[in-house]
Amino acid sequence: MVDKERIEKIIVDEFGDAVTIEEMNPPQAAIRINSEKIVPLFEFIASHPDLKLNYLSTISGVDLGVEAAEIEIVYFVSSIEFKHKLTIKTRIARQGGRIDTISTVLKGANWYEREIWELFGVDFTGHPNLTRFLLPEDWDEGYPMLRDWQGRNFERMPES
Amino acid sequence: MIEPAPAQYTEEFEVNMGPQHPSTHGVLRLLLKMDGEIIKEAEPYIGYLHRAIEKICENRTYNQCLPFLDRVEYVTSMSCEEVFCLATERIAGMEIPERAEYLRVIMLEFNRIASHLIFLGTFSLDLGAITPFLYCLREREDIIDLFEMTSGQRLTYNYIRVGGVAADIPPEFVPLARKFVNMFQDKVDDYEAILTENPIFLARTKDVGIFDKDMCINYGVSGPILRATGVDWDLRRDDPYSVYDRFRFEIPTGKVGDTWDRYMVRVREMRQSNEIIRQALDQLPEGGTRAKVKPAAFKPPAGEIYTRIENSRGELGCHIIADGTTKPYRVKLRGGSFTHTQMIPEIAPGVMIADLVAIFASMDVILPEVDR
Repeated sequence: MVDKERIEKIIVDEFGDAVTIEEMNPPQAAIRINSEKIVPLFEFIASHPDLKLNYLSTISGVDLGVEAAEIEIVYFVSSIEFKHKLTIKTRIARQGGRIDTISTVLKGANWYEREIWELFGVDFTGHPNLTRFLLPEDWDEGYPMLRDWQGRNFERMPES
Repeated sequence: MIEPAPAQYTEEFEVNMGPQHPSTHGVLRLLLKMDGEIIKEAEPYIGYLHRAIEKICENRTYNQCLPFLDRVEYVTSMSCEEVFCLATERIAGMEIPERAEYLRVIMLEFNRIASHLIFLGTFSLDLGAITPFLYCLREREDIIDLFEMTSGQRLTYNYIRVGGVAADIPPEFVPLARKFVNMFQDKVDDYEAILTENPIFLARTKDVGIFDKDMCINYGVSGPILRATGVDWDLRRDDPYSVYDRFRFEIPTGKVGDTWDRYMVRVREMRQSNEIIRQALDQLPEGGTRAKVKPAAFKPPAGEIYTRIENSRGELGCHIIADGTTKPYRVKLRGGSFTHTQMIPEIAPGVMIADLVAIFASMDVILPEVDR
């Protein structure tokens, strides 16, 4: 088990300006990285002898809204050997955003990225198979997980 | 003069396995490219059960989300409730009463046994043994009765709530639970007597579908499948939650990672869950079962967390973003089955079609959790 500060320091030392430490509530080990550097980051943390962060739990997409005009991609990785975990965040444009696929490093990312492509419209450059799999094959009503999505029979309930 | 027979040849052809197929355990479609009986390529097609539960949760208050989460994984509904409540409680920094923690552990472990019994029954059914299925469902019925007297439901319980549990257990629960715990080890012996050393069963499972340890980690495989390859990884111990640190239990692991190991890990896990329930019943404290929560206007502070628990199908995770209103901003669910299904194109080539049925059954994938 390597503690939060040490994990963050190892990564900041390697990537310099591309990485900032992310404060989360409740506190967790978390970093924010420039989306250009995502593949080198995963290669680095999977092989570093003190980190060995080689187990990807999932990738989550978060639409930050029309005003922010950004989508946040959140990766959750942990180490089976040392039992520590890390949250990695990056942001890309909401319209026509793209990011490199990490399925070349961790094969499990394949379907998680495909899901985000399908539901948020994020393009994963180099992904082997970006095709529809959750929604119907003839779906043409846009990207349903975006916050301003308007579809049939979907009504946003007012805040009570 | 007799013409010589043409040299024997096989032609590659495509077979649809599913969506309506008894051994796909739900609506999974596998497109298989076959060479005789050997699989060349396999491509899973999912999405027949997509109900957009993540989108629905954006539009509901925290307590309204729970009945939907039950339907994500209806064989172990309690786990889905627990992971969502755990995440919300961690964001809100909420302490829940001790009795509620123990009741949650008892329910989660009973649910794990019920889920593994379904696995054991359907797995042996897929291999052609019908008796274990009847035995397993008989014991599962006892567990379902316990759930029904507590929550009123047999499958989708809506029992674990943010801040505790919905209601205390009725007085007759503990004696009946003890009766089950005391007889269950013998019942597992019965299942093992039918299967474990059965030569037909061994021929179908030993050295069939060996999964490599590094490949499993690379794919993010978790739960009994990962443990069957010899990796000692259980979130109940390695990412502690609830009161699991107060119980003594072993974490069974396999040696080679074949179908038989995956079966054996689950059988031994049932025995361990049984012992956890026994200890929890012994230690069960008195007291309240729910922290003070305003059900309709419950507003956790702004925060974000990814929480995970050890489900019977591996890591069950929930990523919640709270924005300070009564509804979650984002709910992302991570189920083991989704991750395990995407491994099929990797493991299927070179396998006989009958063995794929055995391997797929031993992975214990449940389709509503894949599609959400």
